[in-house]
Amino acid sequence: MAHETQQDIHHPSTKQYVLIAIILFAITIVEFLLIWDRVGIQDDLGSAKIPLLVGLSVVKFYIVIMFYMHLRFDDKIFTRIFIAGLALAFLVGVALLGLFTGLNGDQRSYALDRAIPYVEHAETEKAEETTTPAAGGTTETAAPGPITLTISAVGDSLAFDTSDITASPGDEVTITFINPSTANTHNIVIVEDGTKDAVATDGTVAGQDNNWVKPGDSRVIANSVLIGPGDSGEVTFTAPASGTYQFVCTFPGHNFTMFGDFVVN
Amino acid sequence: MAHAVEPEYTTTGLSHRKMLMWVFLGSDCLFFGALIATYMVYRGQSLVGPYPIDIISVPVTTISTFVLLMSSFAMVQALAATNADNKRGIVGWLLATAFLGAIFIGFQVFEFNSFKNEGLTLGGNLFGASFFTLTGFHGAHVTLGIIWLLAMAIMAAKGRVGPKTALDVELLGLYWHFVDIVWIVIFTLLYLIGGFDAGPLVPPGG
Amino acid sequence: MAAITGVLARPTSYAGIWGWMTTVDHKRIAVLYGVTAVIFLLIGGVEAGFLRMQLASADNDFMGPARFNQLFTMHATTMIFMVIMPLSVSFFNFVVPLAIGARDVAFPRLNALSYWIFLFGALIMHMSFLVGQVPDAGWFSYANLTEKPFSIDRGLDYWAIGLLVMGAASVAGALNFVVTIINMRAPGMSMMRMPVFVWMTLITSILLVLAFPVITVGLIELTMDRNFGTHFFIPAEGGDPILWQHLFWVFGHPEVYILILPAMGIVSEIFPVFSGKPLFGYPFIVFSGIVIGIMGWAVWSHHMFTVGLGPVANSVFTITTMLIAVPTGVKIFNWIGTLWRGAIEFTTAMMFALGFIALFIIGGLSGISHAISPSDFQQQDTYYIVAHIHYVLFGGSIFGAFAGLYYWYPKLTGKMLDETLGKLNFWLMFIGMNLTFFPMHFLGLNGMPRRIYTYTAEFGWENLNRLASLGYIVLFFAFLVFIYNLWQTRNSRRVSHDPWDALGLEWSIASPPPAYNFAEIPQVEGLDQYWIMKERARAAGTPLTEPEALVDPSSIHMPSPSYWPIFTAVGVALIGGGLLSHYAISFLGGAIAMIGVIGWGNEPAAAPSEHH
Repeated sequence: MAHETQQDIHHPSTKQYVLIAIILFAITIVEFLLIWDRVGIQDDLGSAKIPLLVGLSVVKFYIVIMFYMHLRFDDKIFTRIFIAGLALAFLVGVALLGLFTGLNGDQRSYALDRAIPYVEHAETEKAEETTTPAAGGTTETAAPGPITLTISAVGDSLAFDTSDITASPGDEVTITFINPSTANTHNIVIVEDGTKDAVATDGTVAGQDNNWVKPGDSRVIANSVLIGPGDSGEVTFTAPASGTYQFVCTFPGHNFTMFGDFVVN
Repeated sequence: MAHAVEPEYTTTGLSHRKMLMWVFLGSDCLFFGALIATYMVYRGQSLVGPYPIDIISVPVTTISTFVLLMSSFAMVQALAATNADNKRGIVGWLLATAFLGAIFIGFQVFEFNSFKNEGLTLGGNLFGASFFTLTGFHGAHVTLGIIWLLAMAIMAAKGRVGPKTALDVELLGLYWHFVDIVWIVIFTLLYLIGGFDAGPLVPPGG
Repeated sequence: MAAITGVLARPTSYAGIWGWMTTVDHKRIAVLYGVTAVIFLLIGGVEAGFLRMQLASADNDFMGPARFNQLFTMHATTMIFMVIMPLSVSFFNFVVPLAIGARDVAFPRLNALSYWIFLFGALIMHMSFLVGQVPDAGWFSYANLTEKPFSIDRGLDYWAIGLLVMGAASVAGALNFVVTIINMRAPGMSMMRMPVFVWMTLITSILLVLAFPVITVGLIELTMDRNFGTHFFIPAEGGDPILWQHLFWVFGHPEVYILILPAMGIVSEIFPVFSGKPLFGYPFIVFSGIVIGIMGWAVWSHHMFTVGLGPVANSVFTITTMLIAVPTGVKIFNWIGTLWRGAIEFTTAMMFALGFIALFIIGGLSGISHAISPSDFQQQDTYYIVAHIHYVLFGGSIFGAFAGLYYWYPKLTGKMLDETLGKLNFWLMFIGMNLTFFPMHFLGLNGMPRRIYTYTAEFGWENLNRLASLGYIVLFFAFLVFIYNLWQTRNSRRVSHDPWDALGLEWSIASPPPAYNFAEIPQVEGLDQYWIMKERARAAGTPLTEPEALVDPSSIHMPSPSYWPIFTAVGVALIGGGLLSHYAISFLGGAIAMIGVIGWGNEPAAAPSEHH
């Protein structure tokens, strides 16, 4: 008849626990040194540092489980129970990653095509600062006149082909939007700076019949109707006062990537 | 008065509650595994910054990792004190574990705040979403552990924790160490390795 | 004591509603789960009825697409999570402790907690009907249809939160059964002397604790996308809707084995009894169950063949899916081996079990055709899949559950369900089920997609749809017969403790079992211990008679009732509910749950009795 056994079959002594703690700290220090750029080891190692780091972590993991969690000295059944969960998590995780990195689908390259390229920040931070608008300066108040701008989407993706358009205050601006997509419907909406997402959200609620724009939205300077695949359309309006505005497509979901700046100066 | 647990008959001779805790920890591996898988799948897929290299500070997080490792040591000492029926030791080491855990959480809060100030948000990009979700749930686990530690310390101060109830401390220890080893995995993947990710990664094969 | 255990004194009796709310007795918790499941079976069935009414005619306008989407979503979610799973857990609860010679499960209060959290989760999900914002994106809620702005109302939030809460209940319950089965078997009951149903419960419970965390993460990420601004599944921000599918199906495939393994366990108990022969190939049935449990983790992407994973992934999952048919086949052959040359008794339980084999084979055959990814490209999202689902879940899990119900009802209540009504129940269900779902194979192959609310007459689908809707009416009558059968047992005569001359330990005690189950924990010498005991007594000329009640039942200390489980469950439910209304409610729920856990921790498992 088996009874609940006493817990102290074998306990490491305090000295051994301290030793284990020191080992854990030491491994962590080694890991840190491996990636600390002041020491410079990482450059020599290159990508070899990854298996090294993983290996060191596995050692730490093993030590904590076996000694602190006492698995080494306890009944094997606990080890089996825990390893079952751990192994399953690891295998399924690896399978998932394999399925994703092996995918040749559009989604993985979407990020690469659209991401803002990384620039070394430390050196160029100053240069990256948004340039302040030309101080006073070019007050060459040209007479406002009609101007036409043509803008398009990039194939079937959710992006305009231009990220900036400009005009002068008072110009009669006609924007012709050509939609080359085979499946997507778009519009183009001129809005106050920083409001593109809010306008898009309200536009979604307003619905398709309102061209995905809330009627009477005070943040909207002008908007086109919905332009279907292969179509083109126009919107004509008077350029507002100097400043920065935005243009955006408010078809639900498009506003996250389909927008740009409209600078009036 | 400590409610002495009579040895009950079990098929394996092992405690029900200890077995429950190990099965639960096995299950929790899948929980963190899925969160880690999300992070790993989305490495290099953020469309906009800030990217990990802009944000992650390995030196600071190495310190908080030390703190958590120290807390595991304190937990082990608390269990030893329990087996030795050393009431002051039990209370002291339990409070030390909780205190170190709280410092770890403090580091996390400080980190989250400074990241937010540098522009990393839940909704800003995938790195923000997966980072905050994974480390947030880990932090929640730590916090629950701290509450459990404090409750246990209070009971110990009342003299209700001792060799006969050592299992209670052992179970708490198992949970606490588990949370520690999950952090070991997170620290390695998100900080030591992933902390240098910059911008979109080129998938294998170009 | 009152100060420690809380404001209210600890409940002591079984009486009344309070007795049911504070029970920790596994037999009562089984009844709670079972009754709840049957009520949801009615609700899910009514939802199906509306679906069939709409689809019975081409260009029907009985309901519009929005309502239709809500109903098929809730029908599936209800049937899977609120009918089949609680029915299975009901059987686990009632049978497992009795079958292993134990007095209760390892953690009786945790057992009660699981039920109450489950009930509150189911209520949270159905509250969506009351607020008029019902989930409508299908039971697997594919992203990014489930994201705002495509699903603006709160229906999907009710779905996600309800499922998160019910998931917690499932994991808590499954943890309990894993420990109970490993650690509370009677002396002498080695693992290979456990009844097959207990084995299937163990495997199912292990699957539950490992699979639910994955969907928990998926649901959390979906909820965060919908409410906290993240973009886990939003393509325009770099997120990938396919990740949702992966997370869902890594859970979802083990889930379908969770749904079928208990039924396989039940019929494994029934066949030997009504064939007059021991179970054929016990070790093979056990090991194939284990293999199914393990391999079930390697097949999930067969639900995603048409998603664009690429030929390599599709091929790998085709192979693994075809392989997993093998252990199922092994079981079927062993069941047939049990029946072969047996003295078959066609009781209702046996007929449902036989029906299970036939219908599950049909479902399995269509399953094999789905396994082959090129043919699945034709079948995916058509009614061919709907046919497969219903043959394995209705023909499989539900028929298995009904078999178990007719089989164990006399043990639960001391009375038998009427056999004539039972046979009528069986035939109506068998005919109705085939009438409803067999035509769907042809509808699917003829191109009828799933989840469409109507179709035009020129497709030529109307006749088969009409036939299917007719089948529903037959099923409806089957259900009525079943309810009536249950009702009329109020006045039936009592039967003995062992009306079937069965094999398992549960039949060795009185019907209904006393609170303490076994007066003396049995010593187990082999498989089918009760049969061994009966044979030995018959050979000695002193056949076993009705077991006697203990003279002094209080000499056995059973776990006492407790209100902490339902109290804590309220806290957990409020955490979920608060996420759907005001976050302050979630904090209140968290506080309640914490108080509950502390009170629970301070309460001994059994109240000290006056005899001490």
